[in-house]
Amino acid sequence: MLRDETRSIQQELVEYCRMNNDGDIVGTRQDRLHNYRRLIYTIYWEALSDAYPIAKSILKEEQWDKMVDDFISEYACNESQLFRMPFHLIEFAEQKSFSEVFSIPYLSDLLHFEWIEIEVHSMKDIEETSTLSLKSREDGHLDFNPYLKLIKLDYPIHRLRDQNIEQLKGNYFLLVYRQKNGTVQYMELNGFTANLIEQLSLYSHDFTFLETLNKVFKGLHSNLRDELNTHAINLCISLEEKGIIRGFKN
Amino acid sequence: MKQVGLGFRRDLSDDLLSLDTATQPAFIELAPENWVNLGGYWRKVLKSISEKYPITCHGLSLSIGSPDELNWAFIKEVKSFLKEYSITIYSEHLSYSQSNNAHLFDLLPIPFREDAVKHIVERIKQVQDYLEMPIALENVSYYTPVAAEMSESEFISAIVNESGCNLLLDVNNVYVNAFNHNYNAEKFIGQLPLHKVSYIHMAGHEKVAEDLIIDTHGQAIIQEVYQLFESTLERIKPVPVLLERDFNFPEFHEILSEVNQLEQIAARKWSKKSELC
Repeated sequence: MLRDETRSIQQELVEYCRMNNDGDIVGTRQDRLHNYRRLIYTIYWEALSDAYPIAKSILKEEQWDKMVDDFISEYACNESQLFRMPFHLIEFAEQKSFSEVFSIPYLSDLLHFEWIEIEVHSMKDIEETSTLSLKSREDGHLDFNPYLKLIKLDYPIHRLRDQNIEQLKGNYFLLVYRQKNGTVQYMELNGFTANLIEQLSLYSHDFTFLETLNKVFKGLHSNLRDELNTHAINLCISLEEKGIIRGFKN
Repeated sequence: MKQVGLGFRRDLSDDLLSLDTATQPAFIELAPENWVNLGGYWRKVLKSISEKYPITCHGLSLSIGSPDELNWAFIKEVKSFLKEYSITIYSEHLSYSQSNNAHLFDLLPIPFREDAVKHIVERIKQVQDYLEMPIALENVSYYTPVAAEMSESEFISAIVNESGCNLLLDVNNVYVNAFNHNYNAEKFIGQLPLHKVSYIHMAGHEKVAEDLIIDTHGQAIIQEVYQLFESTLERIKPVPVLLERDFNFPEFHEILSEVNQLEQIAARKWSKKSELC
């Protein structure tokens, strides 16, 4: 129903706003068009700056502006909710290898780290189920806090304030979770514990806690298995105290 | 009865929750895009707000004038949100914000053309059918015409009349557009289908050049816009009125004072009208 010409004019206006075109759009005021480009740039710039305050503070002003500018012009952000738009910058920054371009090797990790906090903070509420404390019985299905993410990083972003992390490339695991009061916390884990928590969470729906431990530690010597079982039980009790595990499903 | 509500911004939440019934605005308006599928702290705040105030919704991302397909997944989420909070008024902008899958989060002017009218009318009907409620569309401010083949008032009137949607009359936008495009605001309002006005917006703006005003929602309403508001109320039936203030917040009592001023004008103008009826 829309004529090709009208459609094309509308597309040209969007492209003008996103890209550095000359703005030669039929039937428009050339002296006024730039206001749209400026307003849209400001909307993007502010939303991204709010979402990634640490990345913005670490990049030079011209680097930050370039990243925002390139994102607007090169990435078609098909997102209806403005507060979710900054998530797409992570993918774009990786596509464009901004970590290498700006010689900040941990930039991708940093963007990821900052976004995860927003994501966990705003995760959709899920109705709470009834649980029993882990200390009240020997076994059951674990009920994990649904507002958590386990992330793997190449750089210890959580130590960025205190250390020069560029020299610390390795494997880092963070458990990021939302507390009952709505605040977001993170907990650093070693690789073994991160893997154990991942497996416990993954199997919690279909298997009980002890069944899962049998599955995970299958084939190990009984002494080692007993030791790891004890470690897993203590770990889960400590996770329950932090609100990362809510208890056994009732 | 109070008529005037206030646009809900997170910066205003504590103040709004602390008001007593006598001083609080009649209702709160929010953009569903900022709240759909949101959990945690802000979800709790929204729940508290919804327990204290009636809520209306004013969307930003429907992009009703876009050449792209309607985003039905998004519209479905809006419908669910409206239902969850028992919201019966949903309005949007007569503009577009997306093309070739790129969302710009701003309100771009649509070419005032017959084919655009037909395109938008069809889309409004689809949205209204799906939501099972009429929507209201706002006359937006714009800084340049885009390949226009009819006047702005003809464009708006055709869309409202042919689609059966309501008109959200943004009085400040009329003032801004009249200034920017050199037409008479009063006369323009007279050319609109005023019997379809179901809601009014009022806001401040910023004059950035001798011949250009930007619709910022970041300043207090100016006297000329109050005057246009007064004369407009004489021509329409009583409807909800909303004060939009999106940033550059003054002390909260100053915002409330603007709400009260609008309330007094509405009471004066519309009570007279009731007497005449």
